[in-house]
Amino acid sequence: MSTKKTDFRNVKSNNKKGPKTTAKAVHTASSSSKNKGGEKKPFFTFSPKMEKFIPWICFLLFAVVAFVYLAVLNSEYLYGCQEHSIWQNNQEFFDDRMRVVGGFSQWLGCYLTQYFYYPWAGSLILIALWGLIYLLTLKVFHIGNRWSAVALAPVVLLLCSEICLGYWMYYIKLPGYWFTYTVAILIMLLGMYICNLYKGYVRAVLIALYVVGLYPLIGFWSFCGAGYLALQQLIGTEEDQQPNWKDISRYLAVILAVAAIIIVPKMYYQHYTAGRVEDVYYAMLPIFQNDKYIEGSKRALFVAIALVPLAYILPMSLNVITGKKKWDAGKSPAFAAIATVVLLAGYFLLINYNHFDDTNFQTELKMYRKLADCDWEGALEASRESQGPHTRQMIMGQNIALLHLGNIGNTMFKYDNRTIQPTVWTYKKTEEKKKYDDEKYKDKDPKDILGNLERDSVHVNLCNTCGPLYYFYYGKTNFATRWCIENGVEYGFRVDDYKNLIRCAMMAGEENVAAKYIDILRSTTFHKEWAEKRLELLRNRKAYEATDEYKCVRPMYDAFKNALDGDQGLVEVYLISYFCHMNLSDPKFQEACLAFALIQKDISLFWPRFFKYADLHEKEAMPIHYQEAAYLFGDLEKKVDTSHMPFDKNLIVNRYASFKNVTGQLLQQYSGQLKGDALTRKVGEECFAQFGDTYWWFYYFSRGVHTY
Amino acid sequence: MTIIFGVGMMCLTMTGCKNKHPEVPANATASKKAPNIFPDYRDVVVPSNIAPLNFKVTDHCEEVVALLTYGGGNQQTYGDGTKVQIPEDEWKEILASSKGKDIKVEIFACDKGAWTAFKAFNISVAQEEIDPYISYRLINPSYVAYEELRICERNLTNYEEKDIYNNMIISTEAEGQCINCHSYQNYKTDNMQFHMRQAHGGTMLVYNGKPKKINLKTPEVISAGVYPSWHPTLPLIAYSTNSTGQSFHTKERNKIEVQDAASDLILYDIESNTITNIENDSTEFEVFPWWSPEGDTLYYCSAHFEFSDTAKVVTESKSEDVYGNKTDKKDDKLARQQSQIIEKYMDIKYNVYRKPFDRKTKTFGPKEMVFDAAAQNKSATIPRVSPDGRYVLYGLGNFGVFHIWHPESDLYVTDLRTMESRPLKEANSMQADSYHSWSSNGRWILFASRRDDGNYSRLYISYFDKNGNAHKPFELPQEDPDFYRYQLKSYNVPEFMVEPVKISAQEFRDVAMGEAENVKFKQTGSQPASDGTTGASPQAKGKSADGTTGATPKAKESK
Repeated sequence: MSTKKTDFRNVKSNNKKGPKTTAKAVHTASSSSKNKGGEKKPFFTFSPKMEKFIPWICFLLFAVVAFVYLAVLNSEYLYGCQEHSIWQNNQEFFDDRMRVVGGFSQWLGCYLTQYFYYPWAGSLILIALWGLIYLLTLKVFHIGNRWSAVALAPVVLLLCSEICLGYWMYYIKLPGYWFTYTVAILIMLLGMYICNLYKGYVRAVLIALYVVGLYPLIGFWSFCGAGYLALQQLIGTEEDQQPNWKDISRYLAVILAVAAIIIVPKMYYQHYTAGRVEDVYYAMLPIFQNDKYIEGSKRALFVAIALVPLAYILPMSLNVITGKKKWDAGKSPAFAAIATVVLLAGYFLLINYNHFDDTNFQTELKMYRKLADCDWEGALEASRESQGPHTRQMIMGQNIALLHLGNIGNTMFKYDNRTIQPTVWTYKKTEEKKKYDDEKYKDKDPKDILGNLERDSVHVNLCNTCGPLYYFYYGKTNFATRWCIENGVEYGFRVDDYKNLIRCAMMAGEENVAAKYIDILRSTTFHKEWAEKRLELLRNRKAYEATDEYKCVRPMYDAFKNALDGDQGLVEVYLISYFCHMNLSDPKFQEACLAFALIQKDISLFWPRFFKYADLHEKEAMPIHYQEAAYLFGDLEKKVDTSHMPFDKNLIVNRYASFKNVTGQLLQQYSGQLKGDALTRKVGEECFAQFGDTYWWFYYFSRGVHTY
Repeated sequence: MTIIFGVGMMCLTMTGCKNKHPEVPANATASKKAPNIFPDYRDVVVPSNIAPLNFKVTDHCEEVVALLTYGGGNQQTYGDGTKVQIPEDEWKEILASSKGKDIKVEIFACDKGAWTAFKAFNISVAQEEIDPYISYRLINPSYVAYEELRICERNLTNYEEKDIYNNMIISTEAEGQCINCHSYQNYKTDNMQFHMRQAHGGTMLVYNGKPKKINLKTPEVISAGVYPSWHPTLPLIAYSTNSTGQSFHTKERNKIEVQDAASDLILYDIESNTITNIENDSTEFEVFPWWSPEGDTLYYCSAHFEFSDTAKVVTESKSEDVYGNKTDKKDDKLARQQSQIIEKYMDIKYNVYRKPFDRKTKTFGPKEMVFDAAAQNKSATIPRVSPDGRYVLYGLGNFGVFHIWHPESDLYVTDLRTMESRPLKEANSMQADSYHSWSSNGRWILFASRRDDGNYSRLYISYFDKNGNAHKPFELPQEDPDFYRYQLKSYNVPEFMVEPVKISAQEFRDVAMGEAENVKFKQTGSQPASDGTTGASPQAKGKSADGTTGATPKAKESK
């Protein structure tokens, strides 16, 4: 990178006397003050050596920050991203991607996203690609070393786009999202760089060809590239200080670019049948949309990336319009230094603002990964590390781990059962939107229509985040398969979908279809090994039957009979409702029935399951939470004689008395100030430290739990 | 750099360096075992205009050579790794010289440096050609969500596939469009139709080459037209109207049960833009109409079912008509009916019937039983009459109307001269063999089968010889033998065509964006009802035309 640049433009374009004079002028600007002893010495100057390193220093700083935000703070998320993406080394996958505009970028994006299997590796590749984007930005837009921090803007925005997703990770329909746009922007800049190697008419024609050639690969970004190339051509380049307005090629470039931008997408529309004509101009500009909501802020990052080059070209165009140097602030090293520091600080704030920093989200991902490996202890440890309240996904995950460890009756309420909704962007509808939705859904039951809810956003649903795996662990392979397929159809089949489909098909003995899904995972880069192991298990039934997975799930699977049913898209509600109404003889299945009866807080459902549990575990100690429930319900209803039951004196009898006493006192204490739910909530909060690990606390104070 | 890398990866993915005609290994050990190949093209009968039958050897090996002997001693070798891919031009020559004869295929496979010569197999080339085009819908074997759906046209003489229509050309996130039931008059595409539902719903009707969108739903019928059948010569389409729901099996391999809670038959007259009832008995679920080649008889399936008024709702199920109008949960009666359907789903058995049709008056005669599936404790679906009018081909499963989810379902034919019914053993498999259609010359049967893996429907083509025997079917050929291993879409509603569709997907889209023309319901007062009485609302009948007893049927309430 040359040191002979003073502002956003190449210095040569700032100075009518050509490169040599420019270089001199630059040095004059900084060194003349030293020579002229009588003049005031600037408090800061760049030495040429120092200036040479500015771009590298800027990028190094960015790279460190990016690595921290990616691989250090978001390693679980990045691993989750590659589980929710896929790349296959086969013709079918390639052809499928190529059926849409931008398919090639998506294909490459999918390929590179795989590397998040090792979050550090994916992060390094991403940062390296951003390095190329940064270098090309400096070159293509002739940004001087001193101002190189401004060239970081696109990559900073790309970093933001990586770490802002949160629960959108499950819902975006943008294959290989995490690399696709980096690849597209890189191709855009590379194309611009190549076009810039030519001049005059050749370049004008190249601009049109740029759109024709790159639109299928990068869609919208080809318009940006062509637009900026035409603008650069119009207002002059470094060799062309004073625009020659008689040069027809300037206008030809603009005309060809505009014509190409208008015509080429329409032309390709006749070829691509998988897209709407209304969208041809936005192809490859990501949209964050579900069926009722578009989150504009995330798309805005990409719009900003598209607009940033205007800021690079603006100083040059001002010069052209006014015929003189308006942008001479760039000459001041001090100004540049301060601006750089301010800019870098601004970048940092922007990155931090966009960082979806939610402990429960990260813990959910960690727990999911552990559960998928049947690492029950690992899942519970992850849950313990995260301070409550927890999401339903986490609580359900805890219970699955405890059930399969055989410890649910003693520990399910020792884990934090207080519930909080997943963190998502929320908004309140405008009156206009509310009216529109009310009219649109007037015939529907308002409860059924997400669009009629005041609070609306990503609408996280357990079916989409963890439903298949959780269903699987309760032996519900058909429902698990259903949601894998539903999610795959809706959001594109991903590694996680295939893994769950394989688990279900193997458990259900559907070997041919299991082999098909295994084949697909064998064509990936990093899940090949997992698939090969599965293939071995598929061929060796005995080895499969010896796995933890089989031993845990098979009894659940064998316990129930087929029926026609439906979950209405609510995993937890279905599981609670299903299990608390069942009472079969398999010990594990039966314990799930009892545990769900506790969660359901239905006393009449509890007793038959409690007694059956006692029969099935005759010589075992009754787990503490079941004792708590029996003692509580016996006390509440007095329909069942519990006097003969051998309750633990300290943990049940005395502690229950203490619970009643403490809560009674607290109720009395706060009843003057609070009423109804507020009073219950307050008392619950106050006694949580003492009794939060009991069923009694859950029964009285865990209220209004909203599952999703 | 990225581009270079990407292009490199693409090249690696797409092609390898192929040795077009490898040498036959000299020292191969002979084996009595036939090779395992995928797709399985061993001993199949193929038409003389089919695309190359590329395959892959699935026995453990690193390299294969296939030696093809054809046309009186000509020989050629092929092989690329474990795949055998034959160039189209060379395959055409092979087929041309093998018409009515066999192509002998010898496979040599190399495993750990040792070559094995497997037992040879034949590919027989029939004299009769196959219609050059087929169309099908590509859909994930999905439950409720569907996202992208494509109705595709495939040229059988090569690998060319194009979208006739793709719902993504019109669908948005909030307003998706489902497409289904493409159908043609007499294998030609100037008169064709398909349905679109939900966003911009309607039936896309192409008549005399011009597309228009119509709305077949009127207050008098259960739903808009669903399963269509074009009259072979007149501008008439028979449809079923259905109230369809689906439920989910919690454990069975079937996974989904698709059931009708009501269905009737209607006739759409294109010229007058009117629909009339054909069958609307409230105790019968009439479905899958199909015209005989002469257009003088309408075949269809029907199941007898009576609802009890006292049954309770046992579970909820989703239900929607062809335009995606969801059933109102408050409609207690319908919910109760659906509940009963779910409870008794295994008791619903469809038989094959037919009704004579008077082309002049456009009226139907009384129904007649063709195949009593219920008597065998079975259920028959999708009756299709062969172009020579001699056979009716249908799917036979244990119960219900949607056999693609019933692994036991097989293809059966009834000889209409002798009324003898039999399974097409050579064509059937252990998995679901379902939706089927005849080629225009009656020599080829195209059908969907889940035999590959039990879950994904693939298209198979079986030769049906002059003696009425089916032969081992072959899977629709693809350029890459691995294609079906990775393909996640099911092939659905396969139909033969003798020419390509001439209207582009974009043109269809433009029409679909417009308003649908509403059809009118025409009361057919003089039309004889199925039990021989007249009137649009059949009253209680003692005995139906087929001789079975109809127990307390009631007049249908307005639908």
